[in-house]
Amino acid sequence: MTVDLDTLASELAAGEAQPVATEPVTLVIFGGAGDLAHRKLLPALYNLHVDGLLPPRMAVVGVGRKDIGDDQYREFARDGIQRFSRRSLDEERWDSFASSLFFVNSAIDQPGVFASLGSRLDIIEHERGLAGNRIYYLAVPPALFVPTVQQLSHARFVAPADARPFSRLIVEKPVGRDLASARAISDAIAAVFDEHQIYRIDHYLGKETVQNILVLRFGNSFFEPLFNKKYIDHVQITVAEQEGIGTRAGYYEQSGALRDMIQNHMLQLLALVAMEPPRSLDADVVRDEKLEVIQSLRPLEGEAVDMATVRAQYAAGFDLGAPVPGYKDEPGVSRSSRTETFVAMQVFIDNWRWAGVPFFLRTGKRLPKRASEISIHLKEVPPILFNRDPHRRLDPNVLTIRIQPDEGFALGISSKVPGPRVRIYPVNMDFRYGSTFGGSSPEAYERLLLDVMAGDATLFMRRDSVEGSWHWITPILDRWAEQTTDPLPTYGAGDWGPPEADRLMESAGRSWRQL
Amino acid sequence: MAPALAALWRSVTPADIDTTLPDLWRDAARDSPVSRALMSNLVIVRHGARPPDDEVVHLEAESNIVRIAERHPARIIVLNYSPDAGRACAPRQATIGVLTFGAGAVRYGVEVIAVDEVCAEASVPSIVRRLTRGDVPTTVWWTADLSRARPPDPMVETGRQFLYDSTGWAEVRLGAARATAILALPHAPDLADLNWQRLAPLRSAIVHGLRNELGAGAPVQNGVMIRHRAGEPAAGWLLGAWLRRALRWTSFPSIEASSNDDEVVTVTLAGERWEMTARMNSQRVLVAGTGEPPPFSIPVPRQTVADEVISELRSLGRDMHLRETMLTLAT
Ligand SMILES: NC(=O)c1ccc[n+]([C@@H]2O[C@H](COP(=O)([O-])OP(=O)(O)OC[C@H]3O[C@@H](n4cnc5c(N)ncnc54)[C@H](OP(=O)(O)O)[C@@H]3O)[C@@H](O)[C@H]2O)c1
Repeated sequence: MTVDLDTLASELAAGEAQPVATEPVTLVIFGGAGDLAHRKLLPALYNLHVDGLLPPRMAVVGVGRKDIGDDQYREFARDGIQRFSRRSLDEERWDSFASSLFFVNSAIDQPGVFASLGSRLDIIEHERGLAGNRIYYLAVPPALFVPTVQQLSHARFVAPADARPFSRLIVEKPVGRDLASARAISDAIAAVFDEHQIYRIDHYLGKETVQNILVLRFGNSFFEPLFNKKYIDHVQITVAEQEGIGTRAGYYEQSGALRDMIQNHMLQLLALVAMEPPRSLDADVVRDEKLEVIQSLRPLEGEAVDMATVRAQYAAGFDLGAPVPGYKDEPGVSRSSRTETFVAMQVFIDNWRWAGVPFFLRTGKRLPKRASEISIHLKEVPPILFNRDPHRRLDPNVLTIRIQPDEGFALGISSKVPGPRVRIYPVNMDFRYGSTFGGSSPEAYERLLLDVMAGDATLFMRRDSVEGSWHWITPILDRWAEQTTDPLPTYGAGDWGPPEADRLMESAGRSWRQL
Repeated sequence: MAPALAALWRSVTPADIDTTLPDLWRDAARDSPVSRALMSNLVIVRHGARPPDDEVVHLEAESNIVRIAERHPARIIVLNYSPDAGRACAPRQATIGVLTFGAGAVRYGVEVIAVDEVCAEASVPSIVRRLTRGDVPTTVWWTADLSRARPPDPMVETGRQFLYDSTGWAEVRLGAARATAILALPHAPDLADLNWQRLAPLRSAIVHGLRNELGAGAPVQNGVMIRHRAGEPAAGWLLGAWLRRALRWTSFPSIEASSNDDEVVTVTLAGERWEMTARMNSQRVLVAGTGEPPPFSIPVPRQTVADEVISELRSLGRDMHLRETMLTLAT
């Protein structure tokens, strides 16, 4: 009896650990010599290579206006890896990785340039035995997203959905700056790529702890029964950045904290914490459930925006004791700027599970430290037995999911201090990825790039979710845009935001968690 | 030095603290596993201090730090705070360490961070907030005389508990006024006074004496007399304020320095036909009355400063009696 090759391969592969991505592919990075490629993408690809996770046949082709050749591009990559990779550079592995890197000098907004790009790609693919599967990565300024996609279409670079060889598109954030512009970009992209070919990056979703939220909730039996209005008092989500805006004034002045952080990362985190159990881990099933949460957010419009949100801008202050300038003194920022560098808000999810449970979101630049976490605060135990003394209230239980740094989670519980008296102390049951599993967790971009190669869209944002978020955010932006004369609250660099943010919490009878 | 099994130290720039600590942990765990223990943050403020020439020698010699770390695993942060309005000095150097205790499965370690010099008042919170871990309670331990040096409000407000020792206060009522000003802050921490804790045996001896030895209903009519050891007036005034409040008097009882150096403090309460005197020294509180029963005594626990600090770190919550006493003292 003869066995065909596919069957033979399947027989042999059964029981072996399955590689995630095996199909040969060409990754074309538009903006391949930019900051994102330097700091994140090239180091991520190198680490995937070291781990043996990249497809055996692959090429990475950077595209940009810089007048450099392959060798200089490899130097650029090497520098990025040396400076930003979680692993130090190993010469042997580097050599084999470097041979798959190429650079094509091309201005994507000039007509006709894709013809020469196409012929160069054909040569590379031919030489490396690649079958023409392509992933196009839009690591260019957002204004170039649509022109690039249109060029791809005109040059016939895009295979139809489900065709082989495949074409996939990775879109960086931000997709739009309000609902209308997000729709316009999505419409233009949808004219060329099918939704199943589009991978919208939210790098937060690639972080190990964020992926663990689903495991924590649905892989353990003692959390999920508590995740509802009966036991949860409130939830806090904080994404704190220690840095100011640095050299990114051009981008940030157009964006602000609400667009930069809340519209995407923080609403996605909220959705993961609050979603109903999906019936399977299929990408669209998980994304359907997340969308449900976004669509259940109680709308904030008109005066409700003023009650439930606080925006502020950092003033001069300190970073670990060293003086730092205020936002308006940063290079490239207008003296009359009203761009918010801090947002705090109280939101409600109007569904059966979460009715009446406030979710507090807080994000800002130039806060005391870089730290992101979700904390789920359980209701207090009744004021009987151990919680009777109003001056010595027990700390309520808190489940904390730390996203960065020091990824992990902790459960704050009350415990008796050894000794004859009943003295109760809040202790943490603490799990840290670093010390439990050893070594460093993969970077978010490693996981996300690998998923695109494998065609798994679970950790990427679907169009309806992006637009759902903008639909909810846009009335807040509109309200703020109307308020052109009210003074914007400020906070000193190195503070945890303005006093108004504390008052938002205190008026709800709670306080922000220290990070 | 207390039995720290190992201490690993590194001198770094402040910006490298977060990235270097994991290296120290890795080194600490090289031969056998060590778990990171963390029950609270203890911020020790050395006021007016120039950084010592050799911070490591200094930290290891300060057995308080090692003992506290061992028995109440806290992230210990030492700030050399020398306020100087004219200078905006940012810390240039930090000494970080991992101290490990125990062996085998119960080997654990704690982190110590000492920052060389901090002078701008407004810059202090940015340092404390960065270095403390938010998921555990923070205590700020002001080691200077509160009546001589006032901590900046934002520093005080970074803690859940503000710890001090009134024993050596030069001006007791000024110290109390500053302590009560802390209580009025928008994010006021709870107060903890090591001296108040040391006087606990005396307070409970007085309560026991009044309640059980004199018979019910004997009013304190003839006065209260407090004598304190020379140079330690705070003990006398704390007890004076405590009694004044309970007696609802409008003025303080008589408080004076004593020539007897053996007794820390002596309190005499008198009614129409009775008198009770409680004397506290470093060993015991002895209570003697005018009536029938013979004197009784309560031992004073032998505690190091580290023991006392640990006890405060573990008593989260508001000590209403200390609070009221400080308020009375400040009026
Ligand atoms: N950097 C980050 O950490 C980060 C984080 C999240 C999202 N993003 C998103 O990622 C994208 C890239 O960001 P980035 O920070 O890497 O920006 P960047 O450093 O400015 O890089 C943009 C790249 O695009 C290239 N480019 C610009 N105009 C071009 C044109 N007409 N034709 C060909 N190439 C052109 C530039 O190369 P030449 O000037 O040589 O042509 C440059 O390499 C943006 O959409 C950004 O919003 C970045």
